[in-house]
Amino acid sequence: MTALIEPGLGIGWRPEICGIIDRLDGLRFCEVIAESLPARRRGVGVPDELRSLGVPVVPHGISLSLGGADGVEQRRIDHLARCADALGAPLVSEHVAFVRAGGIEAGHLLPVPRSAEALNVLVRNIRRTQECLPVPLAVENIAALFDWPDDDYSEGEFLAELVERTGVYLLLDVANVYANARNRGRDAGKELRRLPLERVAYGHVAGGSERDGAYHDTHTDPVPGEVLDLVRQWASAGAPAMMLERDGNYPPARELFAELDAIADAAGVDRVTGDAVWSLP
Amino acid sequence: MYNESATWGIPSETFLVVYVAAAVLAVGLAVFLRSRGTASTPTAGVRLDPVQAGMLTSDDRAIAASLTLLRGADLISADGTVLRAWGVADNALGSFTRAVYDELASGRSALGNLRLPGRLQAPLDHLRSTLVAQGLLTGPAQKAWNRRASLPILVVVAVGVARLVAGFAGGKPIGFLLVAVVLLSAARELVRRTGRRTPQGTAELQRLRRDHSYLSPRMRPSLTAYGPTPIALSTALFGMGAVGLFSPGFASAAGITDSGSGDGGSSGGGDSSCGGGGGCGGGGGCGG
Repeated sequence: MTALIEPGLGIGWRPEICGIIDRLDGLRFCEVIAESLPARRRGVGVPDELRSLGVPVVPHGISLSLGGADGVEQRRIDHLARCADALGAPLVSEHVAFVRAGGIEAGHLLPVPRSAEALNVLVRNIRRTQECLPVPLAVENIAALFDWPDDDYSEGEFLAELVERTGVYLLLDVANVYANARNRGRDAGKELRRLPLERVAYGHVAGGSERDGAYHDTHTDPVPGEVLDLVRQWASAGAPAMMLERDGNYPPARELFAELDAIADAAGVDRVTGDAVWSLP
Repeated sequence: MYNESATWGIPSETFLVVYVAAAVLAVGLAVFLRSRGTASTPTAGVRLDPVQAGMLTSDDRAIAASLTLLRGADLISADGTVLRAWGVADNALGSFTRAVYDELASGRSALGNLRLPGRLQAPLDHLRSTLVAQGLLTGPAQKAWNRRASLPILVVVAVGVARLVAGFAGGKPIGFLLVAVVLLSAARELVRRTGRRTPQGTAELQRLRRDHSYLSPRMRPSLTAYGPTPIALSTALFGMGAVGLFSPGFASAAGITDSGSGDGGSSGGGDSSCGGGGGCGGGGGCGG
C-alpha cells in the first residue's frame, strides 16, 4: 500500500498554539478539526497560519456520526469534502462512533455496539461518505469507558470487518487503545497487535489522566509513558505517520517540544523541534 | 495684457490660470520637500519590545502592554493591586513598565485611570523619543520640517488672499479664486499634518501584525504555551482581546479594551469543536 502520508511526525493544528507549530522544522503533516473551518460561499475558510505551513493537512471530522442509525447528514459530508478540496488533503478522517440519536446531540463520541447490525449501519454510512469525498476516508477507534452488552465482535474483528467491507483506511489512536485496555484490565500491547494495522493511514498519540479509578483520554494532559511504550512496540514492527493530539490546557512550549521529541523517539522518526526554544523572533 | 479696470491690472481669467498653475507647482514642491524629510531616517535592525510595539499605535496601547507584562509576571492582580515587590529579575520588563508599576504601587492611580494626562508623561515622552530616534514615530523635527515644506503653498495662499482682498475692495467677482484659495489651504493642512507614525513606523507595525498574526485574539492564543511576553505583544498589536480570554476582569478593569487594529474575522465556528473543550477528549466518557 502506498502511504497516504509519509511516515514521520505530525501535530493537530490548533489556533491557540499555531505560532509554536509554525516554528517546528520537518513536520510531516497536520490535522485540523474540520468543524473549526468556517463554511464560505465557496468552500471553506483556511487560516493563513495553517496554509503557510506548507505540509499536508488532514481534515478531521468530529460530528459526522458514522455510527448513527439515523444516517449521516449530507451537509456534513459536503463540509468534509469542501475541507479536503480547500486543503488539498491526502485524506479525510472521522470516528467509529455516533454523536447524536433521535435528534439529541450527545456532545461526545459514543461507542457503537460491536454487533452485526451496527456494522451494517457503519458500512452504509461509510460507503455513502466515501462516495461523496474527493479523497480516501480513514476512521478512528475511540476510547470508551464502557462496552455494550450485545457486543458480538472484538474491536480488532470489528475494525477488520469494517475495512474488508468498505475499503476504508484506519486512523489508529494509540492512546485510545491504551485507555480501553487499561480500563478493562487487558494488555494494551496484545490489543494493539489484534488490530488490522496494515490498513492504518496514520496514528494519533494523546495524553490523559486517571480520575475515579478510570483512565480518561483527555487530550489536555501529558502523554503517559505507557502510551509511548505502546508507540515503541508498534514502531518496532513498522509504524505509519504519527501525530500528537493536544486539545487544551496547553503546556509551555518547551514541554510541548519535549513531548513531540518523546513521540518522535518512540516512533523512531526524525525529531521536528530541532534545537527550537520558544521566544519571540 | 495690462487692463486698467482689472485688479492689479491683470484680468481675472489670466490671473486664475496663472494662479492655479502656481498652486499646482507649490503643492508638488511641498509634497516633494515633505517626502525628503521622512525618507532619510535610518531604521535598520529595529527590534521592538511589546511596550514599544504598543507605542506605535497609541500611548494607551503602550500602557496596556505594560499592564499585561505586570499581570503576566504576577506583579499585579486582576484589579491592579500590587502583589509583590519589584525584584531584580523584573528589570527585564523595562523601565517604562517599572514606571507603570511604581504608579500603581504609589496608590495615586487605579488601573483604569493610568491614562490620566500627566501621570506617566515623562516615561511616555522618553518612550516616544526612543521611537522617534529609530525613525518610527514622528517627532518635533518632523513637525517642523513638514511645516517648512508647506511654505511654498503658504506663499501662494498669501498672494491669493491679497488678490481676494483687492478684488473684493474693487467690487470684482472673486468666487473662483476663493474656491482655489480654500482648496489650496486644505492642501497645506494635509502637507503640514504630521501623523503619529512615520511611513517606516507604519510599515513596521504592519509587519509585526503580519508576523505575529498567531497572537491575534481570533486565534485565542494560549498564555501558558506562549508565555506572558508574547501575550503582552498581542495586547500591543491587537488590543486586550487575548488577555480577556484568560483574565476578563483584568482586561475590563484596565479600561483599555480598544481593538482598533483592523483585526477582524474569525476562524472559529463549527458546531462542536475539540478545541473548545465541548467535543471529544473533554474528559467525558470517550476520546477521539
